[in-house]
Amino acid sequence: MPTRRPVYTRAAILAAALAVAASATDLAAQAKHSPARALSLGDSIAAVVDSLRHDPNGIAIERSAVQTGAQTVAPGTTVNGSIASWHGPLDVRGTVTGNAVALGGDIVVHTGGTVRGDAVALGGHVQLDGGTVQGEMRSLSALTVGPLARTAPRTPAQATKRSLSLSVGWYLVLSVIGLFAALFARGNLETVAERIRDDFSRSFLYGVVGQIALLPALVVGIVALCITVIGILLIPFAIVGFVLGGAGALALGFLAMSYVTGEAAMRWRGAVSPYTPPPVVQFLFIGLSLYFVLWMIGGLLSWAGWFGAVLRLIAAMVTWVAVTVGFGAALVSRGGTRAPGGRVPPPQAPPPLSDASWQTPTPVSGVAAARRPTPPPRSVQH
Amino acid sequence: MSRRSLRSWLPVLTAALVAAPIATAHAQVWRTVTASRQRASADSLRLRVYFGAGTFNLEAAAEPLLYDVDMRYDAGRVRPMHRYDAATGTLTIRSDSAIGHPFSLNLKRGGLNFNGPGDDRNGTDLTVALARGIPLDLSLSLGACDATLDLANLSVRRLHLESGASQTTLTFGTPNPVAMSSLDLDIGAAGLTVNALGNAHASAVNVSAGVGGAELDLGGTWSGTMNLVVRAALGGVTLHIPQDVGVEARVAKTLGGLDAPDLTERDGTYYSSNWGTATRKVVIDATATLAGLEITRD
Repeated sequence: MPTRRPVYTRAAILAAALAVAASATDLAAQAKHSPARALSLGDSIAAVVDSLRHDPNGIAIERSAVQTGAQTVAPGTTVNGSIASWHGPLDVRGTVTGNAVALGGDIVVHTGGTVRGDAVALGGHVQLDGGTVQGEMRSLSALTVGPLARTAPRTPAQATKRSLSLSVGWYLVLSVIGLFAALFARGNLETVAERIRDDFSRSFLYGVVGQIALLPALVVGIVALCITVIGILLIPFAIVGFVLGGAGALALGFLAMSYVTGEAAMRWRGAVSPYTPPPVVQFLFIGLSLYFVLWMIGGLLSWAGWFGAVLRLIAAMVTWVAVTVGFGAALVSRGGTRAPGGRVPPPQAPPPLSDASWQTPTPVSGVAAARRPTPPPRSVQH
Repeated sequence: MSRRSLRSWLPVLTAALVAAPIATAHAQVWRTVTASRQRASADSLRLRVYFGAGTFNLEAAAEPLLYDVDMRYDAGRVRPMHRYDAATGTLTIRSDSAIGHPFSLNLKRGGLNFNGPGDDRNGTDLTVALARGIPLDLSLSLGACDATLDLANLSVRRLHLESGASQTTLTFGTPNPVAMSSLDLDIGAAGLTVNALGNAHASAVNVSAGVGGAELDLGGTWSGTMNLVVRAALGGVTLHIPQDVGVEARVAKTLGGLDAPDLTERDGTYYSSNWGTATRKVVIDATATLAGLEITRD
């Protein structure tokens, strides 16, 4: 049914487009809620003062201490308490008993000038020009706005967006890996997929055992290397190799499972032709997209409380089963290098005779040709 | 794959390749904070650093500063803080809530971040400069970062370095003017390189090395006897000892090895040929568990 093929192609393209859109939306949202920014004239003084108070490197000043424009503490004069300038430099030539703060400007402490507290410049610098700052001199490039995103409680919309971003991220990564696997390791992929088709339950069992045995196997390997003493130097490489191998087997297994899933979906739609080679990339992407859709549905309903959680749990369970089966198949087939059973495929048996074969001198199913026996060559005698 | 099939999947491939960098990008908001203090009447300084991921540098400050801190960080990920307590003379810098672990897959903010030690694209850059000429008490707790500790021209009275997965280079560029009462180096999964340890002016040095191993150069200006305690596990420790230094080494091996071709064993203890005549000596008490200890003479 080649006419149905574009439907899947369009579905996959749509999925990729959704991925792009979701990612772009996420970036835009991040930019909108930027946690730090430079001062601007449109800012509220009270808001800036409050933000500075809550900044871990900021300072607490009174709103009443802030004066707009350039400020100067004249020589011989004393400011009791703190002084702050708003969008202008602060020149200190006299004495400030509290803190000196410039919001959107530099602080210059000239000869004869003294700041007994801290000198803090937001969006500027603190410069010593022969003066003294008894406290700390501090320059902050930008204003900190709001709490860290990772610690902020998520709204339902943010939770939904996060779930979608996760799904999209994994889908894109697996798609790219899958494409490379289909192009450069197609044989391995198909062998693992064949394993899955051949014995699904055994692959699952091997997958579970394999997952449980991963960590003990690593420990045993390290100990074995240590016993050889000289192998100690190889331990870091062994650890990296083991992790890469495990991740590779998991990825290959899941991709093979996606391939089988996509193939099954296409067969269900009657869109698989027995006369053409299996479209591996198509099967793979359709399978991946099906799992992706499962997660997208769960993600889209993140706002829906326990219902969304149940959907995501179902998606997680389905994915885990797929990963486990694929991992088991990848282990049994040694990364897709060993055919099912580890055996050479048996020779094709002749097809059974049909019921009508006795009615004709030559069977309908044909006659197997046999080599005519030939006598051995005679030796020539003279 | 047929040409037609490939052509039909070309848009998907293109979309995926375009989307991947977008999805993995993170809107970083870099912020810088510099903080310094004039030395005035301060006669000592304690430094406490808790640092997560990024790049960390420690060096001598310009006169007349007591300290000079320079931080550059992504305000969307971490909010480093620093505090100076004038009563105890303690400067505390904390940036340990940064992006988690080396080579981690961070999907929490809608992007993928592979963070290696010293990954300065995502981590914090922290440079701390300390006053010369006053006794310093340093306690550094490092996570997964690249750390360069240049203690030249500093008077270090105590140093405790604890490192998780950091690649750390510690250099005593000039002789330490004060005697170091305590020098503890506790290294986890990454590496440690110590240059000119002899300049540390420490009579006792404790080194605990993990998977990443450590390399210690005992060069520099020193006299008397240095007691060096080494605990190595699952890694390797290499000691470079000057030729004129007498060496006595007691090594307890548990599935570990010792490579010390210039030392001779007597009654379970290894000695250098100049042990009896050397004017400066090092006594090594080592434990190697699933690890190797190498002693070379430079």
